[in-house]
Amino acid sequence: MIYKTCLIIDNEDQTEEISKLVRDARNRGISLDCHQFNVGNTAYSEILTNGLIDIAKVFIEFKKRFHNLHFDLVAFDWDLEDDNITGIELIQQFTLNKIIKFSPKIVYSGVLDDVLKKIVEENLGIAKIEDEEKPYLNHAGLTKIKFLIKNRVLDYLDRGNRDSMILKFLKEDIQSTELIISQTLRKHPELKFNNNFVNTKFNGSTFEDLAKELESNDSINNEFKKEIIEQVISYLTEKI
Amino acid sequence: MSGNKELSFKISSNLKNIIGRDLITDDFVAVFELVKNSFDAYAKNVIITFLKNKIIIADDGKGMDIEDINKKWLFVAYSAKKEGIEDSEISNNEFSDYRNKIQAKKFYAGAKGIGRFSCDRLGSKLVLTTKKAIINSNLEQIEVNWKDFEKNSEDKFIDIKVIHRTLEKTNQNFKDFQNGTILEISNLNSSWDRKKKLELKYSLEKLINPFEDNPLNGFSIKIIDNDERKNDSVNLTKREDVNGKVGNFIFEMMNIKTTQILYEIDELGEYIFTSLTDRGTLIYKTRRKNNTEPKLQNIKINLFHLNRAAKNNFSRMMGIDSVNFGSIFVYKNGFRIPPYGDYGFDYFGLDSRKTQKHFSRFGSRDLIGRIEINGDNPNFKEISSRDGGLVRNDHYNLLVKLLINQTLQKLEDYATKVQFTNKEDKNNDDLSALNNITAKSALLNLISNEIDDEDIDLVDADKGNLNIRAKELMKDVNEKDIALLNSISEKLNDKNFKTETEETSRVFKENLELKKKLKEEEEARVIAELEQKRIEKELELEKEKNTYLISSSRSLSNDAKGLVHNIKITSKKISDSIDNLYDKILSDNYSKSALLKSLGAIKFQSEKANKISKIITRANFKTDRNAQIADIVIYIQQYIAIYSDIYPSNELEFDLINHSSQMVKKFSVLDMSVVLDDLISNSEKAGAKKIEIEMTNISEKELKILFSDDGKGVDDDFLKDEKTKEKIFELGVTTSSGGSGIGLNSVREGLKAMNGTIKLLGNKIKLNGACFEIIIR
Repeated sequence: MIYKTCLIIDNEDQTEEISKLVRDARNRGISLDCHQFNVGNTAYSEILTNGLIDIAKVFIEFKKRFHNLHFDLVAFDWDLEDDNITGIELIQQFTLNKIIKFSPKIVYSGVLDDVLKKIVEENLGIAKIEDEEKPYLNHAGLTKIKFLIKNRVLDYLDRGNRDSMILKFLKEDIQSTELIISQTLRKHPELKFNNNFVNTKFNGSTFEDLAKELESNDSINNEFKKEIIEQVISYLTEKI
Repeated sequence: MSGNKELSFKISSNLKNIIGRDLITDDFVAVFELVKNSFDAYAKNVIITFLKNKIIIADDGKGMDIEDINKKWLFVAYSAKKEGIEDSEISNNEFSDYRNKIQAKKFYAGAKGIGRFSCDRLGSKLVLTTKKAIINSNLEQIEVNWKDFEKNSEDKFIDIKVIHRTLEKTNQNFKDFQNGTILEISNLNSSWDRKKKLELKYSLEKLINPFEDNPLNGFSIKIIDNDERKNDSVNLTKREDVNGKVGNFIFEMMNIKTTQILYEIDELGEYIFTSLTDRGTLIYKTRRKNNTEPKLQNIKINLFHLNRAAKNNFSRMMGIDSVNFGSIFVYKNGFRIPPYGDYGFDYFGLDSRKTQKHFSRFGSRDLIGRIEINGDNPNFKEISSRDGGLVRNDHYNLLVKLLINQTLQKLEDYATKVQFTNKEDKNNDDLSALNNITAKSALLNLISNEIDDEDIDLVDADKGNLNIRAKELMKDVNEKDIALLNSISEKLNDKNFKTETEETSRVFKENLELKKKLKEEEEARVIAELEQKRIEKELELEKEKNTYLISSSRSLSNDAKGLVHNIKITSKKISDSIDNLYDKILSDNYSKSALLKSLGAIKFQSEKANKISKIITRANFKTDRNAQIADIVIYIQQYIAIYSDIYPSNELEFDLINHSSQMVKKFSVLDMSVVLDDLISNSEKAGAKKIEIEMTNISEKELKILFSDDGKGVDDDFLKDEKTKEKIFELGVTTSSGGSGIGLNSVREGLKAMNGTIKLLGNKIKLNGACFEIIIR
């Protein structure tokens, strides 16, 4: 049985859905610890201001509830029934604030095609190119599509396929090196490395401190990743 | 008693006026009478010469000797013509000309013995010079001064003398005069200007029947007026010259193509022939027995209808419009009886008849023609004044009737029923515009009607005109046309035509069969096409059914998208809840409360889905949003207001009390609707008739709602204390018989989602039944 964690961010209560998901996961040999974060729910007034999602409150609440938790997968609902924030924009904010930075993400929606259609339709123009009138996507539209492509979003799904795809992803065990490192460090936050690093920056820090450092600094993260791999290879190589 | 005495009439000299100028009141009629007398005297030529204050009418007729003058000319009211002895000497005469011998048997133009007094009309002095057409005849001259008869009316007519002289045969004035009579009328009673002379000429044109090929065997009238020669020379046509021969205007010779009808009662009065000809083509000719009463004989009525083209041709040739020329003239034995036909004289009532049916009748402006009374027809008498037409008697009246009903009417029928089928026909001088099935069909009908009577024989018809076998005609021919053609063919009794008609019938039947076959094939083709379309459509539908699940390219409206969104959420929740419930039961891992909780959640979601369908059409309901920012107070007010629309069977009375409260927040309208439904349902089950909802703001961010009814209230067991009051919201606990125990729990869960709470206050708080307090923050 493999152990996995996931988080579902949806304005609707997902208790029943999660209950079923966990059961299905077990049937697939996955011990799933699935949480939910009801951003936009009318009952969750702690993260709302005047009925609208307050990002600052969201971060505070998230840190409060999910501190030190790593998620193998985070599923975002596209439509949080908010006038200002969609699931994608939430992802962007999370990324900017280095929250669940290394966790793979999926976005699901009740009417997925419309997400993309809407971006295209709202940003489509007509221009004369070489004496011919041709359609083109303006800069704003490109930015939004690029945005969809970036931010480590693995997939865009229809709501009906969400749970099955979550299980599929978890089963395939798609994890980034960064996530593995981060999860491992956070498992034993109080431990320390021997001072055997070439890069002396990493000497003396606790696992937790290091995890934080790595999550917040990409260049440090890359240096550490490189060092760890080299060290491991060095360690495992037969002595000549 | 004295014995009988013999007395005798005396005749006043005034008789001259009575039978002269007072009777002949028209100068032209006077000239006509004198010309007629010349004709009756076997003249070939009459010359009318105008001199200053003198008219000379000279003819080359048989002339008179002194015996003739005494016994005939001076014998007033005696007509040798009438007595039949006028030409008794002819057979003994040296008139060896064959034509003249034929003329001996002719009928006279004048017969009353008073025509000579026409001279009195024209002038007060007459010098008659005459020479009989026999060898060694004398040149006799009579001089009459008509004024002598006017001096004293007490003078006896017979006492007024006329001067006679016998002139020398060598008289230079008459050296070329062979035979005939010369009337020199002087001291003219009226002036003769050029216009009048021309009018005389035009009248003389019609004097002689212009419709005959050789009228009156070549009788000729000439006018001489030297004074007018200078004016004549500038004229364009001879007809506008005073000098010259009075044209024998022969209508047929003009070759103007018209439509004409000829109605003839033969010489013996046995048969009547009617012929209709259109622009040179005989349309039909019929014959029937003459059953006129009184019996007429030797009558011809010939009418010409001038269409636009014909009228134009007439004007061009004659230099005068046909309407001004005249209309229907009457001729008796070759000489015209005025004023029939003159412009402005509608003796036959044609114009008044036309006003009754303007578009289907002809008036005097549309017709030219003549009525000929030939031979011995004594019942047709001219009125003595010679300008009033014929005496109105039975014969005359019948003649007019035949003109109208048997001649004109038939001409009109042809025009209106056949010619008028094509508007262009009136501009044509041929029948090309009538070469179509509509016109030909009308023609067949016309002829068929004409010969409908058994007593009528169809003598002739133009077979070419009746030919409908041309390809372009046959396609539109119908069965009736063929039937008519066959009946006409039978009557016509023409072998060739019958063969042609039979062939036409055969071709028609063939075409009919072909048409029928084509129609059947066409119908079959249409049916087959429809069937094919139907099959294709079914196939398409079948394909659509099969492709429905694969294709997902349908585009949805925004409302539809919203519905899909809600349905997905709701149905997934229901499905997962049921799955979880199922699993619990299977694994024997359930408690009653857990089961009820799951079932409550399922019910709530299904009620929400149901709610969407009921309030989807309400304005401002956002289908794509479960939660929206709105004023809860206003939503409740509006929901209650439309409750009866949503649940038509509802009989509850609602009383809403709002203390100027409001609560704007984000909440699920569907959840609120379900909450209200459950509360109302509870009240109904408790037997309530009235519900009161009172809303008050406890604070700016808190809304209190008191929900009360007048039902039987909550059982006392639930009212013991606060704890027992809470029990009512537990799953499985029901306050009414038949209740599920889910409703109030759903209400609490629904309110929780919108940061609301509910508690039971008790019975008889506001109304007789239960009262709940809801607080929403």
